[in-house]
Amino acid sequence: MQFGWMYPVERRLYTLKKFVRNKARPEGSIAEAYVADEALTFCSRYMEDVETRFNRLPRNVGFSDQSAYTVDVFWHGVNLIGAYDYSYSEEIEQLAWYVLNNCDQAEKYIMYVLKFLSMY
Amino acid sequence: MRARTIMCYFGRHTKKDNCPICEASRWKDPENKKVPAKVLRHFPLKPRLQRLFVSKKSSEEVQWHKLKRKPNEKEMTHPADGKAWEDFDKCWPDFAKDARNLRLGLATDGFNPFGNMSSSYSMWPVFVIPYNLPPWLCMQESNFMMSLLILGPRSPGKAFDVFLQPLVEDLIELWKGVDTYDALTGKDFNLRAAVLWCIHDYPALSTLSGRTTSGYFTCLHCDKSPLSYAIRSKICYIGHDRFLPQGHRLRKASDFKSLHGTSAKPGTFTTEELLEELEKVRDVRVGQKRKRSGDRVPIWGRRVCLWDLEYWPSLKLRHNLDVMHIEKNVCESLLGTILDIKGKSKDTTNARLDLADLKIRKELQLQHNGDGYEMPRARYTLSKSKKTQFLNSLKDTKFPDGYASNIQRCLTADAMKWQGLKTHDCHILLQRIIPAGVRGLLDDDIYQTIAEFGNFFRELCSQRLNKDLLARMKTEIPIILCKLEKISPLLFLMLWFTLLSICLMRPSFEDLCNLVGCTQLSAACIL
Repeated sequence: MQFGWMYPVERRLYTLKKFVRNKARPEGSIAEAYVADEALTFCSRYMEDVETRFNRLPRNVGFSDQSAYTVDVFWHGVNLIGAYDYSYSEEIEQLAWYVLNNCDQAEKYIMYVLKFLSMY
Repeated sequence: MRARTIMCYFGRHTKKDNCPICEASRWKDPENKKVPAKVLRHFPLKPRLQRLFVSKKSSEEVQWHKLKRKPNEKEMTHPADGKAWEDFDKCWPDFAKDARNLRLGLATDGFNPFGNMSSSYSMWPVFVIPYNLPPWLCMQESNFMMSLLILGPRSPGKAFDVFLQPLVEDLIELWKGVDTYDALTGKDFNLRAAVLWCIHDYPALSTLSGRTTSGYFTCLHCDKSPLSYAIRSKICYIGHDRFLPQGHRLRKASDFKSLHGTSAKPGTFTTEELLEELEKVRDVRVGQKRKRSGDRVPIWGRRVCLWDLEYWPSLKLRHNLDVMHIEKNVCESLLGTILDIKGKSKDTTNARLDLADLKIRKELQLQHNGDGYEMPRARYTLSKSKKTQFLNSLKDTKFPDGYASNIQRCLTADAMKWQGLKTHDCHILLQRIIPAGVRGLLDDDIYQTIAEFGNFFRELCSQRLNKDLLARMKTEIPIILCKLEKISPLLFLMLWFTLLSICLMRPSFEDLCNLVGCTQLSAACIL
């Protein structure tokens, strides 16, 4: 159904709206900007060594650079966008549980703590 | 272009100063001959379609639908899986032979180029979308081609036809074929292109197709014996049980049994009947006063120039109404009625009076109470405490990242009104939130019907459409609509629900959906 609905069309209208620079002649400015835009889009399909909208990676592309993460439970393989903030107030226990039960790297600390506890 | 848009000066008319029909001048100042009365921006389609084949990459992508697509018996993910596409191929085998021949969609809508809505200005771009491309490229903005830019400040209305002429001229030429260089094979070939369907919203339907979108024949697939019925101040569309099979339980229980004088399904025109109808309005021109003729059913107002295309009568689905707008309208009325929002609710005094006129649903009619009248509260509106519950559940809902906007922000704390509710919010509300939110708050039968309704939209809007599921949905939707009618006859007094129903219950429903979907459905209506 994506091929028959108007979401993309309405988005396109917004692009056209932004082209209006001379408010007395909206049609003229849209036509002028549209031709320029079309020409540039056409050219950019043929460029190889320049970053264009056709050859750049999308923002949400996944990647698999394991070395970027030292601990594998934090390996999510996506680029995070925007600022981060720490808010573990409610979920911290769940997080800790998940890490202890799923993370191989945590194994040696668990052993260490167990050993430490068994001493007393 | 003339001030009264009647004539488009292009092609053989380029050099003329006066309109060949009514001798009016083409220029603002006939003495000076410098400034035309109106200017239509036309971006020729031909070179841009040819351009697709100049690059090896895009030339390959254009053939994706035939060479690389893996057809699935059960599922539809691309228009090429749909029935309209198949039928077109069957009808025009020589066109279908070459995968490079382009299938296009025509999309149009009016918009105001200035940010503020206070100045009314409406210009209408017409886009052409090549459907040959794979799904991940097809609806991308950079692949849309604007072919016409129809000037404002008033929307073209009936004159749209005149503005469309240069494009249709292009299309006629493209149907015959133009010589094009293909970078992939390094040879010239004969490129042909055909428009498969148009995409637009409901009001634009009459602009683009010439079919009426108001009055007794609003319902697009009820050309014969429609569901419309005149009530106090408007025309309503009730009695959806007529779409059910004979002897169905809900048919017997219907409140509107003897309303229309017939209990048969409304009928649509066949292509032959349609062409006959159009023949009657062949001479209708813009700006001409129409003579009232007693015998003619006023469904088709004029014959638009799209009918000049050779393949146009053979198309299965000519117009797609946009599901986005329908969803929004349906959602707003549903939400307004459930939350009983002043001005938005369809459950008004007038509606209750209409019930009295129809002599149905005694418990909902206005009750005489001492000096005045009292409006009894209906089952389908939430009481104040339940409204708060509904809002709280809305507040607690968390969405995945990027799934929806902050919807609870749109409703005020006491649910007395909403603001800034966007179409996508309505999309999410109707499909997910209302069905889940009213559970336990409304009576079970009402909740179930609303949930079925939301589910229907969800299935319809899914990326992959299952053909079996669509067949099932086709039998289910009249039942859902009848149930809604049973719960609240008032809701059905409005157009949007009917509009939906029409779309949904169309006899050739499957053909529509086969097209890929929802829009079609809820949309596609004209035949």
